Amino acid sequence: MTVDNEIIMKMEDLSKTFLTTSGIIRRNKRVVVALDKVTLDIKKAEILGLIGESGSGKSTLGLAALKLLDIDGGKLLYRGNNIYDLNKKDTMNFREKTQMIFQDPYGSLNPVLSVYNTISTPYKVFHKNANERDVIERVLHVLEIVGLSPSHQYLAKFPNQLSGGQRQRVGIARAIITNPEFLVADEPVSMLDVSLRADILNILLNLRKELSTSILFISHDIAVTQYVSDRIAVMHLGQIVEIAESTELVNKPLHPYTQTLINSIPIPDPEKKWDSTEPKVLAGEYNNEGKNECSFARKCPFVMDKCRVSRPPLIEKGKDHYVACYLYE
Amino acid sequence: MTSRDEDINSILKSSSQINRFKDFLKRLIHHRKGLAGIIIIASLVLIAIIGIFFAPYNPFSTNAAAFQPPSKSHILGTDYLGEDVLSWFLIGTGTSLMVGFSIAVLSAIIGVLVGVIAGYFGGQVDNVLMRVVDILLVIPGFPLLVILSAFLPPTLETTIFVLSILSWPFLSRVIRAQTLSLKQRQYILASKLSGLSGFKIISRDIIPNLIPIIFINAIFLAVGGVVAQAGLAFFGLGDLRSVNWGTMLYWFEAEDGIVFNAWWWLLPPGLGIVAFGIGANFLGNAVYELSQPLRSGKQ
Amino acid sequence: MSNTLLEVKNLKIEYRMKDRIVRAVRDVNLKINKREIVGIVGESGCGKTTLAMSFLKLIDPPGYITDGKIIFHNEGEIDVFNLKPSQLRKYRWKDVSMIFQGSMNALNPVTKIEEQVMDVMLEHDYDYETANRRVDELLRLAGLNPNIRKQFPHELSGGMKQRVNIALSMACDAKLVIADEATTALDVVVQRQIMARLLRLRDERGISLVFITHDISLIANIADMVYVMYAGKIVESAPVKELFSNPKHPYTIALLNSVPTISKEKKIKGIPGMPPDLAKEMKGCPFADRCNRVFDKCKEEEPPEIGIGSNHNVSCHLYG
Repeated sequence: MTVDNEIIMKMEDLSKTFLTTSGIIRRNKRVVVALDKVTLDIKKAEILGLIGESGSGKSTLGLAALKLLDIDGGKLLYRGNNIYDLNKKDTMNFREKTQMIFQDPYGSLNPVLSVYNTISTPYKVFHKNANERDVIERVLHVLEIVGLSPSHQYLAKFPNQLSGGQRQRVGIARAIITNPEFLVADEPVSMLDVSLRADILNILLNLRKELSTSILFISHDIAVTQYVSDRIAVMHLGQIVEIAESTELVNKPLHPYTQTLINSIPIPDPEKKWDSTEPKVLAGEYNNEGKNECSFARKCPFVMDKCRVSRPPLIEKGKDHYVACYLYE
Repeated sequence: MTSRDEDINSILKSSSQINRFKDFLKRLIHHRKGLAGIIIIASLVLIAIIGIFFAPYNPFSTNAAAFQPPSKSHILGTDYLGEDVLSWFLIGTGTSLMVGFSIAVLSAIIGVLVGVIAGYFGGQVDNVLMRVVDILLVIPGFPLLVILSAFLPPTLETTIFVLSILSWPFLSRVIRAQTLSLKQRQYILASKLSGLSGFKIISRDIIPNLIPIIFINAIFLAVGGVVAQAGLAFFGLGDLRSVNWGTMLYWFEAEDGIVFNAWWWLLPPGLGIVAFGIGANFLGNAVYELSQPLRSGKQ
Repeated sequence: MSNTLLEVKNLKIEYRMKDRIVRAVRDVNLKINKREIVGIVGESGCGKTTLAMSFLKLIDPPGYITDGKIIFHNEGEIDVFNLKPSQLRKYRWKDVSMIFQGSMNALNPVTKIEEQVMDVMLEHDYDYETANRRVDELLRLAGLNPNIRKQFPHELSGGMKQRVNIALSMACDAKLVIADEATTALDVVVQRQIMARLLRLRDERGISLVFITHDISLIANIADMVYVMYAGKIVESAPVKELFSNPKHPYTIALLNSVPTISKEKKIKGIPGMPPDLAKEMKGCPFADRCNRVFDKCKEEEPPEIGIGSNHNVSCHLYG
């Protein structure tokens, strides 16, 4: 796969902590480390998959990448500049070039706005003096790209007249109308019926091919992620534990956590029937308080003493295959 | 312009807000309760309009005999001074409705502004505004009205002003709660990513989605206002020289209408209040039912 | 002694709304054997949850069962829809139990786990002592440490709550458990653990399982027999290996082609269009307007169920 090697986004030691209260009378205060010194690169015209279970911090990373929340440490360099240092004007430029595709087809569109109004808004904000005819042409163009054809029939429709799959396409059209360089797709197909997902995924692949858009594809569904991504990064409790080219990751996972994940994925092949043995994951509490240890230490079947006292760094173990695990030192 | 351009223009026009509103009205008319509510309230408004132009007598002219039952010359009879009850009712309906709508509009404007700003911006702004709301909510309404009536000029404007001050805090809490919930929607995040400013987001994404709830609350504020004003008038507070449902009831009680079995004097204002309450209730319920989010093809 | 545990025959269920009638289940036939895992796969709007609820006769107005019967085999035949209320109470949970969709919320948040598990048993005529004893056993059966019995639902993780639901479903030693999207909201590793636990129940306790899901990959890994549901009807049914190696109905084939899999590199394709509106009258085959092999007869006549050998049935004119 030929991918331009230029890096457009560089995350260095990104950290973010949330304070939560839980319990019926909100007595228990907890510190949740959502991002624990995350370092990651995204290349031009690349689809980088980000997988992890709930609580891994992957959605938080998506928000951080678009400057939608404040971070507690680290840098996020877009074209060489730390986005968290940008002034208002430069932030607007950043917004023009970066967009998001959302998970919920029912909550991501304003019910009182027509498709035309929803899609044209980002364009109008960044091109205040745009001619109405030009705007209409652009909206029709992106509608065609996302497969809503004949496009002019969709302009006046409202979200309640569209199916889930159609709404999701409108959301994508809105995200690409300013010709962004970088998109964050946060679980874009998890709320759609299975038979409708392929079309959305193929649209994303097309965007990468035709418009050289880079996409951070966040999902808990590994099969879906592998289909659409060039590389995949695996996140666990705020830490990146493995990064590799997508087929490589799925066929030769190195990190014990990744292995557990891959082994648990259903495969539509009846010859690979499951038996009643539960996956070998030690019972035990997860550590989410940023202590200095491997995030998987308390549950890893191969845990060693070293793993409990220091955090393994990401090292290269094969071509473009990085893993954070002392088993490979 | 090519025919495709014409197509596009007509399509865009059809999606405009006015057409959406006309669409909504159509649905409302087909809704049974909605239609009933509209008819009732429209009838009351019609009565008020008739009162402005076609009241048969000046309500204060006392040319007839007192306590006359309905007759050809006085369709709703006369009151304790020989004044025409029908004229009182026609004009009084207008005044009472005006009071109700004024309170609704005034409370709605303040309540929505405070609620949306507190809910959307949160933080210190929210804290300060909600403390003000809490203080106002704690004050008991009726005693306050009585006290204020002693100090402020006893006009209808005063009543409207005071009742509005007492009504908006509750509305602001409702609006604030709704705003907090709407703020979580992903389309708000999408608007932020599009570069829209806070106020633009409020006016475009939040308030339009609040309109059903604002309208429903406003209708009930209107009813509440009418009843409150009538109640105040009944107790002799407010402007007793005004002609409205409340003062009709006051004079009926004060001048012993009951002794004279003057049902023709009691029923119109009483029924007016009840009718308005029922009409508002029907209309509010209909708007609520019709504004429930429509979702496609769920199991 | 026959191997059949439960039969659904010609089941038709509709919802009578103010202005329309939604026919959610339109003539469904299926058979569940003892110790068998039956998978029912379908997407949203196919009627699978309505079907699930009918096993326990949980269809209340505006839902009405307009035709068909469910026969449960337990020392004789039990016609579920004609049970008297007292008999129905015994049937529910003792013969057939259920793990509901959205099970996260099926637990009472203000009651301890042990109370909830005991309640089910007490309602089914177990005495207090026995019920109390069984709580530990049931929790262990679901893979939980019995210590959690003193905890409240919000103190448990999603996977643990689901295990409690499994324990609940086994509380009265049911012979058939219906699991409706029981693992949909769970992470993939937890899902694997829960499925392993259910498989173990089948191996050790001999229960049958009806697993309803939209995830066709999951069905391949756990089911013995598969039913594919579309627009309220079963469009294809076959033993699992046969279905995956030899799918016949165009919907089944399209569904298999729309799902990415990590074991094979392939291009996936979605199914164009949308599932039909169950409130509208349908002529002919419900899949006709989305089918890539449609011909005239499909739009006129509803396809009958055709057997094509080795317990493999299809409702499609291509094979008539």
